[in-house]
Amino acid sequence: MSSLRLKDCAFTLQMGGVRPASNLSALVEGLEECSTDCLYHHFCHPVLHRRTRDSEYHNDLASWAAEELRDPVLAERLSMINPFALSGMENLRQAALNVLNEHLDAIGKLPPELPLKAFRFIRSVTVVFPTNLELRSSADLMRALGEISDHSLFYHFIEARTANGDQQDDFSTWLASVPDANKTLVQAISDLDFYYMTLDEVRSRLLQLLRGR
Amino acid sequence: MKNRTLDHYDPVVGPTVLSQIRQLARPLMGSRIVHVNSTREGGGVAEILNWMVSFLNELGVETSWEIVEGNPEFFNVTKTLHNGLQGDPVNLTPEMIEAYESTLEENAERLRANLESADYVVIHDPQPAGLLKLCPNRKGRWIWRCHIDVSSPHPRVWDYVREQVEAYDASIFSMPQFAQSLPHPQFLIPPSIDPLSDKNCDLEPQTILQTLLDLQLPSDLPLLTQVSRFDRFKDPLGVIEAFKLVRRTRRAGLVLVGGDASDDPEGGKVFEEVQEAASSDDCIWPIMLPADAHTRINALQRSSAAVIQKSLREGFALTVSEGLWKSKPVVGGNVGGICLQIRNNFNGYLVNSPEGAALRLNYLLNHPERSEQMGRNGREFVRENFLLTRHLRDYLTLFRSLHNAGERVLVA
Repeated sequence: MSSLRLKDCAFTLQMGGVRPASNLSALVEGLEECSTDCLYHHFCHPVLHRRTRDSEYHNDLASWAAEELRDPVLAERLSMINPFALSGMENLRQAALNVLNEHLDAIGKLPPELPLKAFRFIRSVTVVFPTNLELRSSADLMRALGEISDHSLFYHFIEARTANGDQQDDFSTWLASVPDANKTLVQAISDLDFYYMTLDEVRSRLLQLLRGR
Repeated sequence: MKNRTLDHYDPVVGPTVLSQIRQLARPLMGSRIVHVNSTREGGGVAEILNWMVSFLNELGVETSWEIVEGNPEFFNVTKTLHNGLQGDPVNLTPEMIEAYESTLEENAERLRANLESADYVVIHDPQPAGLLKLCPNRKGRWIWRCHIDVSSPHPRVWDYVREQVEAYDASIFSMPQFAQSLPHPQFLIPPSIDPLSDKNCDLEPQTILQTLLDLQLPSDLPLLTQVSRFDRFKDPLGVIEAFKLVRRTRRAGLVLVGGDASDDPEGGKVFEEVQEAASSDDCIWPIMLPADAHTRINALQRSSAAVIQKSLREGFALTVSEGLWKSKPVVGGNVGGICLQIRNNFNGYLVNSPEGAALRLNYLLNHPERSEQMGRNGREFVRENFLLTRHLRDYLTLFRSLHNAGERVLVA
């Protein structure tokens, strides 16, 4: 029987090496130039830190558009970009640029310069390390979900979707390989629409699915 | 609690966090780290290094802490560098540079062997920054840790400091706004507090009361407290101005507590100015306490209705997290790292003027239940983001990531 050795991870943040953006045009330029690591950080990492109280927008660009550009329309459009539904960071880059360029066309000209907090491009580096948890059954997974860190949950359930190239999380991939795999459970876990959840909610929902609810 | 080990933090952060730290430290066992700053007492950097050095050693990573020594002239120059990096229009003369560099040369004679043989050297702030050039045979990675807000530095000062630090292997800033363009990776690591230190641990009510008695402060008046060095960037005069506005409509007391950092030559003069401004109001108490009066500071923060940190310029302001950890709402200047720690209406308020501070303080004093909720929010916010365990984890992750520049995912 195949097993899944769980890992944990930690993140370190670095400046992205791109000029800060103080307006929409500069944001477009920065987005064209920044590394895929920056895209990953600004679009994928917010789910790691999201708590119920501050989950109005789903990525850093949308939050900046709302708070600094005071453009809720743009913020909403950017927030609807689900990076985990796109295959690869370059597709994500293009999707974001499409939204920004369409918005620039729609508003006609840039609003007057305002004293803004510039958007600063940041990249994150993930350091992965082993835990002593090894899963051999869905019961093991249920127990593990009660104790693994948020980072570990993020790594296996969310990060894996971009790392694996097939947009599949580690849990459903592993459960599918177990003898007598419960295909319904596997599909339900794979289809879980976590983009609108906090990690606490993801954890609770996965436990519900494993308990058969 | 003396002689703390990491296990003591289990009840505070849980076993998972400690397990992460231990796993991250494993690849570093056998490495040697040296931290260098300018003082073992007073100020946030010394507080952080006190625990960081201890815990890295506990994790099996040999770590030592060196101090650059100097005369008052040297520390006047480094204070000038510090103020200039924060944007003050200072005058950095060739004579001052000469004094700075010659003092560092003397220090390098003493420290060179240790620094050049270390695997990682972390240099804190501008005081020791010039040491890198004096250690040409260094074998390890050198990191410049800047605790200051350098978002708008005096150009001449930044030009000089940049010359000292551009050859480092990496820099660390507390937040993105502080980072300057440098030809090496700039990491982002906010500082943190030690929840079990004398300054932050739980206190018996009797201890808090006794502290008020010892300092001749009332226990029957809502107190507002700012704990900071007497430094113009902390704006103690602005705090007094705000308090006087509050006093127009409310009973309250203001306590301004400063410590004596051995590398800050301006403190005495600013304290005199504060005493002068406070002299017309018998409910303002400017107090100078020794650098190690941690329990008293703890008690004062815990006895407060709200904590103030109305800085005009700030690197991080550990006092904000200290206040939040003690479940006090914090009214802070809308600058620097204070913005990282306070969320308006959630755990305090960010303010831009004495009037703004008065507005928010009046609100908090008038709404004790709301104030208590914000205090509870603040404590949990600090638990998640600004405790030393997160800080330690960040450093361990940084050391690991120095060896594979450019890769996004590294396996330890």
